[in-house]
Amino acid sequence: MKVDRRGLFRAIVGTGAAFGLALGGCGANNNDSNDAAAGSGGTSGSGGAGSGGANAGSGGAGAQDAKVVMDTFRGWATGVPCKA
Amino acid sequence: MPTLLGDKTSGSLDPSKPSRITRWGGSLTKRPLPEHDETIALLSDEDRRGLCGFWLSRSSGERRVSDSMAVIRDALEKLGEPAPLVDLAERAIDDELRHAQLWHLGAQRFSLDGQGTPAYWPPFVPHYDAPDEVRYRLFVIAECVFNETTASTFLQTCLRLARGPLAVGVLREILSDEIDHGRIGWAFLARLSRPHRDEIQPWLLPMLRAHWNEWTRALHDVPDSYAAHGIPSRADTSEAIVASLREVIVPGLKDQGFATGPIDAWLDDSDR
Repeated sequence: MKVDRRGLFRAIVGTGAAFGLALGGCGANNNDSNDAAAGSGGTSGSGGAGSGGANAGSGGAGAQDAKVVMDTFRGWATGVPCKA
Repeated sequence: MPTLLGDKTSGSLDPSKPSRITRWGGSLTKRPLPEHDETIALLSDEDRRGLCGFWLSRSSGERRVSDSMAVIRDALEKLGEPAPLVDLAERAIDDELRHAQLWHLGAQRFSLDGQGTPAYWPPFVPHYDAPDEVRYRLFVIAECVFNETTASTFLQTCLRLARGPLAVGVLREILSDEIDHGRIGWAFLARLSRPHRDEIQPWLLPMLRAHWNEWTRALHDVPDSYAAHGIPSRADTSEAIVASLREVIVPGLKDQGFATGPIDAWLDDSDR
């Protein structure tokens, strides 16, 4: 049985971490929230959730960026993008 | 070395406050569930009774997780986390109640007489011997980083194997919500400062052991016919639990700057 665990990793870990950084996170190796948001978002969200990570990182902190990240990838489980 | 004192209901956090945010405008599902599932009628009476029992127990479990999500919402609020993150936990309280309803409705379809009531499982909050702020962080990590991530991996396996239209519809609805719930935990971890990560680090292995024990305690031998209706075999369930740790949770912890050497060693130990 083949199950796409990597896709699940990106959907949960990558997108979740990008969301946290977009809200003003500290990042794995940095205590400065702005630097971390710019630098680590892309890494956390690399791969399928990469654009989400990049969005969160380059856009800096902010609830609107976070919402974009979440909306973009919420439909991953069913393959159908959807809005909350 | 941190100490887990066993599981008991916490007196300091209230799991009873209802959610003020709902998904899908208060509807039970995003898409309508199939009105008829002809594959159910093809099952033996014994299989229908057995599947009804499993679906009822999942309903009970989801109801209890709703209480856990109220604890998570309160913990995030007490820690001063931003509103979008708290709101996700707030909505998760209602999500889990919807899930309980979905499993319950499904159980009644499998039931031979259209009846069946899930047992009430009381709230279940782990007690960590640590200062309040650390305990609140551990609650979020245990529930969202560990439990909801493993739930997503498990439901992914269930959905992959499901063939019955009812099971596929229910599993899709629930999996997409659980992914959101796992994200709460990973968002929370990404926001932690280095000193707070250092506080959490020694707790990770004991918490993962408890997590492992809880999930593997629920392993059951089931007839092959159950997988088509959302209840995978012991082997497939076990594979999903291991995969959640090896392929999702541990790599995620590494990405977040946690040391995972002891966890890797424990995972490699066949006697775990």
